[in-house]
Amino acid sequence: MVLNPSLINLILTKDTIINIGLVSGLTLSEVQISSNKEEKIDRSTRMSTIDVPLEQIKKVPALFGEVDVLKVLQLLPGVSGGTEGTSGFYVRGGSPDQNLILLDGVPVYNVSHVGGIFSTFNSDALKNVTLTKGGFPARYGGRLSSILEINMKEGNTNEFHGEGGFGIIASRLTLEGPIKKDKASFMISGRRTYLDLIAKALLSLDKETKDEVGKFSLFFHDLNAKVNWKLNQKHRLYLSSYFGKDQFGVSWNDTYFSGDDYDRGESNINWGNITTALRWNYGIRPNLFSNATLTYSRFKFNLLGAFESKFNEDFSSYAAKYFSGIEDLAAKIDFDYLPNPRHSIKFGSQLIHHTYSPGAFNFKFEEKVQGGGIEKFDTLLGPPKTKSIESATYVEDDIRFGSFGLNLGLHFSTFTVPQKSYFSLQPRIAARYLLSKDYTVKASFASMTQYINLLTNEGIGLPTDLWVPSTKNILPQQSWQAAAGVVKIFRDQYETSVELFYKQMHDVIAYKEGSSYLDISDSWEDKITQGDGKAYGAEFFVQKKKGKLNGWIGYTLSWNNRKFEEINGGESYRYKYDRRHDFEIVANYQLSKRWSMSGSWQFATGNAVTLPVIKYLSISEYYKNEYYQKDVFINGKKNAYTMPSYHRLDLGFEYRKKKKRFESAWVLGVYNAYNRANPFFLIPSQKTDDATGVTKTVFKKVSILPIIPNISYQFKF
Amino acid sequence: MRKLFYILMVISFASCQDFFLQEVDVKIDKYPKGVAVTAIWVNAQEGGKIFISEANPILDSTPQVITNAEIKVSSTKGSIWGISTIDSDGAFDCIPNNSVAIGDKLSLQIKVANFPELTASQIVPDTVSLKSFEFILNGFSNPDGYKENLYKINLDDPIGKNYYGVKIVQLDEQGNESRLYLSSSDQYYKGESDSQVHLFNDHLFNGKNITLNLHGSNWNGNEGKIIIYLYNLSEDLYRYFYAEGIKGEDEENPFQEPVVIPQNIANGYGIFGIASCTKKIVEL
Repeated sequence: MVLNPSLINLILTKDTIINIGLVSGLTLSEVQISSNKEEKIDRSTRMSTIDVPLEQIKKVPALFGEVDVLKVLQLLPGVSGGTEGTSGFYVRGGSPDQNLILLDGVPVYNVSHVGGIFSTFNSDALKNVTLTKGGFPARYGGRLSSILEINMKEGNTNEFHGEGGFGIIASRLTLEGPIKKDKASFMISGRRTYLDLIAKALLSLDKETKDEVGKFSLFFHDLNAKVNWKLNQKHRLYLSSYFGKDQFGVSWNDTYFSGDDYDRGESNINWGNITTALRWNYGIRPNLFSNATLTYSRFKFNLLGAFESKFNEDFSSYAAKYFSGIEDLAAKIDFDYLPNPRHSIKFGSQLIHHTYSPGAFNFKFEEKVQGGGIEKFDTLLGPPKTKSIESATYVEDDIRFGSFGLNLGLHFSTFTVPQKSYFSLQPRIAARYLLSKDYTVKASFASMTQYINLLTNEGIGLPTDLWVPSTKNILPQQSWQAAAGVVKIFRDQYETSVELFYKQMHDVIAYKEGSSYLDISDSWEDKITQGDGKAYGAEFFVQKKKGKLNGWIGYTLSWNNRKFEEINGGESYRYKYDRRHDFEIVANYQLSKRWSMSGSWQFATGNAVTLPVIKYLSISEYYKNEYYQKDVFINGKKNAYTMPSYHRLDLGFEYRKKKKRFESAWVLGVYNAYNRANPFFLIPSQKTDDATGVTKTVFKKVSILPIIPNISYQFKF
Repeated sequence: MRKLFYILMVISFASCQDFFLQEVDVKIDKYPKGVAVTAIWVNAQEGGKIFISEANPILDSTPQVITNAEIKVSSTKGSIWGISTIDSDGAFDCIPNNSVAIGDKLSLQIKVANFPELTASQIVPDTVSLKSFEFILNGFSNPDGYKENLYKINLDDPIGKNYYGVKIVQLDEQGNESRLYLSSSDQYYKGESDSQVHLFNDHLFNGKNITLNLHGSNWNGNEGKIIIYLYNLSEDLYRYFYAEGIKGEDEENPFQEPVVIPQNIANGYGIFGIASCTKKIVEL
């Protein structure tokens, strides 16, 4: 005998008791109750927001088998990846610094490991991922283009669980469980690569090299930890932290025959983030809640080169260190007030203290020559640390009447740097109307202001990228975005949406013509210029979150332009990542009880690029009245050309075995399954025709990621 | 499973041959063929060279030097210019027969068969005298503690926009010049041109007395004579030198923002740039 399935819809606004009558004489197996806080997309006033279930993210095939949340986001409509294989993402025509990435509410400033090949987020430690591309509620601010909220698992309060995996370049382990049953829980998750261990083993094969090379490091690691403590029915505390570090270094030591004389040195590059959040959740009344949060976030980059030499009585040592970073201390308070089930009000305030270290050099030198004294030199070059205070206050009112839903809000922010203060009032509005049982129309408008900027080359998430504030010379970036769309849910499982958006950006930053991000000799303010940007387009999205076959299909048709007085002769030009078409399909299919397969395919218009269009010969003087001939290339209009299209298929196969308390899986994957040589960049090259002897210029594309297979083992208990 | 993995590995390695660098078709707008001129005269009183080349669409064959051009230089203040025949570099020598006045507008007209006439003009910049010069042996400490010689060039900057170039050469006993490899940590310093002219602009010291500092080592010893050339560059020439310099620094860097090489030749490509020069010979 079986129970007839029944569906009970609940709107939970207070403690509720529901009695369900059962047929007597049945023994029920364990019942699991799960909930989803989010409303269905056709009911919510929010638009341009996408939740991707973690289980779905974990199934998407990944480079080297390392699940990467940010690369999965690149497969969503309205979001594009930058350079091949990297984690940077561009939302509705914005740049990577216009994305506010929050890990448990704390901004993370560098989300890349190994120059962007991997993101800093270990998927095993995460609970949910939500991306907001427009229609920003008033509680969010500080960036122009997107809010990416990532929350860590809170830890199981009843049972001890763990999961982990071994891949070809990294392994990971996550443990969670109760500290005190039903009261307090913990989650701890670690990940580490082991390329250095392999390299060390290879180096040790040669005895001479083994003796010369001292320490050798080539790894990154992450540690996520969270403690959740329910003090009583009204009070709850959360403490969460993230530590991540990339380390590449080598040291060497040459000892001479006497044993006393030596040459030794080290080269070291490391960077990493630390974030911490302490949150106190207080249920003041059944319909009034508060969250008080203290946060800390630090990103630091260090580059060190040191050399020391001793020969007889002579001694010299030299050390050069470059360091940069950003450090935030913040406090915020948020309130949720629910006067009735159809009306909610959110309000709160935030204060952030930013400290920027925009790249400084420290040189040390010490020398002692036989018979002479000691000569010492120690100096610090580069811009000094800068500090700023950013504050924000908001109020947001979400109200439903009949078929109509409205979210109205105001976000007010201030920013103070030495010699300058800025203020900004940003209105936000989002509305939905239930046209019928099946269709919902939505519209939104959001104005945003951004006070901090990332100086970066477009695409690669290098740790040398610098976070810098708006100053008296560099104005805050501003934008407004309007969006409208239709939502429909088919068969209660296919969420479908079509959205149109239009975004105007003002005072966005760009490097001046000829500037190089590698050049650190000029002041950063001299290297950049400010101008306007415009992006508009349409996004189509179908998502199926559950079932034997799940995944999504997305398509974006968009235009994305920039206009700067000092670039391209003041004429408007295409943004580097102006992709007219961006199509992606992600699917996961359960073949049998044990086998499943997944795949993702993406197609995108190639990046916009500036290419030379004319070449001629010129001369330059190399000695008094003596000259040499050289080729001169005249570039066409900025970003007027399009690189070959980008497309790639990734595949994954999973064989899963379940036992009573232990689950394991072998995952075999292929990145770039049909070995498409996607262009990383184009270079002009000379080619001589063997038959005619005529030399012509041709363009060559440089590609970096061919077909790459991977295998990993995963487990869960 | 293991077999499948090995097969995939073999396919991967086999298919990666020639993967990383491949010729690719790029649709480039068809620009018409043209003529390019390089006429950089760093001392207006002495004239300079005019080098003429074909300017070809990027995907066409390599451009050739043009030697059958008709060249005319005219002046608004009475200087008379002679054009000599082509030298070994394939360039025309262009020399004034009398003195060239400050503020003289020099116009260049070049005719090449089958192409429209090319024109360009430049105004001879004011001569800025080198007020004083100081050489300090080991007067500059590099950040790593290494000592270099310091060269201090003092001048009175005239009111208005001025663009300076400095070149210092060393003379050996036979009177041969050798370049000194110099740099500067001045905030006014804007880099070095392809022809090793050190660039400064007066945006931060307009109309004031200023000392420009350069530092470097004299690889041929710290004795003998040096010649300091101080150029007052036309704005077009300064921008050309500046672009040339930054393009040269990072030409192989694919992440550098594209550099626009300034052009000022009507109906063609290239640059006509002019400067006034003062020089000083100093015994070290």
